[in-house]
Amino acid sequence: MIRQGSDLLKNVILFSQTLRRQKVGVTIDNILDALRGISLIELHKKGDFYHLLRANFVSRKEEMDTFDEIFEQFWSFGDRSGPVNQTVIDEEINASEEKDEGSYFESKKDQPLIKTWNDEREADEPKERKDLPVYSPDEILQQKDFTHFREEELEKVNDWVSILSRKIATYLSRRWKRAGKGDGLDFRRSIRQSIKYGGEILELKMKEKKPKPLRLILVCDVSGSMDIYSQFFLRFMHGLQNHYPVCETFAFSTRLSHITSLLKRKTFEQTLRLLSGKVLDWSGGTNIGAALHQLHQRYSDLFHPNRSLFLIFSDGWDRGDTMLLESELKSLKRQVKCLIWLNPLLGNQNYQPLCKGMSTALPYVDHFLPYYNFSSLRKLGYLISKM
Amino acid sequence: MSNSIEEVQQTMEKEKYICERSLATVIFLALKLEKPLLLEGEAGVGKTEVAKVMTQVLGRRLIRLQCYEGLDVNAALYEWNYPKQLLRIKMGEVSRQPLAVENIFSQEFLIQRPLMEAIQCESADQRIVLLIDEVDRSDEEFEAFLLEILSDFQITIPEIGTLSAKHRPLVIITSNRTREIHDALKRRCLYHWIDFPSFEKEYRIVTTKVPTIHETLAHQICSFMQAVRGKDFYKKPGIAETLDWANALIQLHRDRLDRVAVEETLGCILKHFEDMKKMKETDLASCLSIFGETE
Repeated sequence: MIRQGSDLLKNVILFSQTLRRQKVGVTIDNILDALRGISLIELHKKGDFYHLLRANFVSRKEEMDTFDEIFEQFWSFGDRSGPVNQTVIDEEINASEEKDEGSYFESKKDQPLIKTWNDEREADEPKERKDLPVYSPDEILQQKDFTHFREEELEKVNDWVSILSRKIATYLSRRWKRAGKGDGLDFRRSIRQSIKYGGEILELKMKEKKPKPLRLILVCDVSGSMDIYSQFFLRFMHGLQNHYPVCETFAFSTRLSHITSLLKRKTFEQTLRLLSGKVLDWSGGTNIGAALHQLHQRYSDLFHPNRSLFLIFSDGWDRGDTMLLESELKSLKRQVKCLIWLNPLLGNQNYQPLCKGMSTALPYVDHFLPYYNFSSLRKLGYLISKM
Repeated sequence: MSNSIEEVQQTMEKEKYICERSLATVIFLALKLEKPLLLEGEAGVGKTEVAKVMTQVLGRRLIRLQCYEGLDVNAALYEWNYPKQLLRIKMGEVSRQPLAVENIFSQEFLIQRPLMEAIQCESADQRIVLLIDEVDRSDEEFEAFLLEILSDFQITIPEIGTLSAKHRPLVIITSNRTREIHDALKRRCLYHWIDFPSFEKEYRIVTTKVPTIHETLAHQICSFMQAVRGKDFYKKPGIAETLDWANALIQLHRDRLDRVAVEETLGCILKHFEDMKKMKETDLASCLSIFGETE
């Protein structure tokens, strides 16, 4: 074991703290195990030392690049097995953090809209909430298009979306616990029960088979044309992801990103911050076919003809290959129980799904629904809970 | 065998498992620190094989728990032996002995399932390698049952109490990453990602596992596989597919790859109709051209 107060001990701890700052979750247990491991390996071999720390500190593939970068920066294997100059590294990290924040609040024009969502909310917080007009404000708000909201109304609707998504989640998960009368004998309880009658089984205890839950697969288009609406769908996704266990979430524009882990067990503000960093080409072009293809290829195990509910949120303005889109939707249709397409433009009475992507998709879609105001979201909730 | 990383690597190679130093390091640590090892990677890169080989190398017994949706405590940990309990109750009636709950809910009436069996081994020379295969297929609540076993190597049964392992097994957990494993479970494990092999590694694996193969054919197969993995397919073939393919080609007495040979045996490496179609129509020529094979 390493002696107390040694440089190596301090440096391993410093290293783990640096990792934590970069969102690699290192626990005390991990550090203790790493320290135990150090006494088992030959320390002068950089490779072994690297693998020892990596096996203990990294727990998902996505963290590996961050780990590698920080490892290289932190551990310099010259004459000593420690960082060359810790303060220099610390300063560097601090400096880069400051720089990040600087650019974060810089002119909002040049960056994708997602980055500004949080800023706006944070900037608004100190302000007092203004009262809404006296006459049945909620009723009107529910019918209002998301794009027409004033900022103070936005907050209210955001709360509603969260509450509704939670309701849908509760409904879905409660449903499979409530199912009918038991069809299997519960031996354990029957025998326990029998003991009070001296071992005579007078009453058979039944247990019900737990029906498999419906799996939700939510896919959100975050391309440029969807900027204004995707915020509301992300909030809906966030609510479902955190309250319904069998749910996977994805975002795409030209490429697909699996965002389940960014949404789960985090506040919506944290989620937005993470999404702006992690999701590639936010507000970029749209290639629905390619994104679905990627989904198919990488996550085909998620699909089940009787138990998967697939929700895609997109305006259908597709710049990709329509042949690919068609073939992907065709096979998707076979693999899921229900395919729901939500389109924000459907709120407009004059809208007709004529654009290339949308007209290709329509024959394969089970439900084509609007998603532009709170009322339409409620209808969606009703539909899902009836399934 | 577990005195150094080199030793782990060498003994595994003796059992025909070619592994990088990084994998040997985590296995060495898993043995020394007595921590479970979580292996992730694409299908067919040899995750399950690690457990099998370690069983050979360590001379231990393998207990395998194949995970599936709906796997529960009764199938994974323990179950009460109800017929035996009923008989015991009847015996109590006949012999007019009063029956106490403890009598029929004791170890004697337990049926051990894989996880319990793994921590119940009695002597040091009967130690165990526990393989929990494809944990991502199980339900999330099942992961919760694993937590107690993986952190403390013990099982708590409400009627009896806590049973702890006398000799800790080597635990290897594999996942194909179809869903994210819970952080609580990951925290208790050492983590390693097994990538698709490099050309050199794959070549060594093929020549080790299929010793009868001709050098040129092995070379061609490996280059072809590297090219295939670079293309866009639903399911990229792993090492398991490479080995199947090599064996199939030998059975067909092929000594080199050409269009006909590949088309005949394409089912060994690609398992989706769309992939096979795409391969035949667009990618085959470019994959073959890598080692100078034209049509």
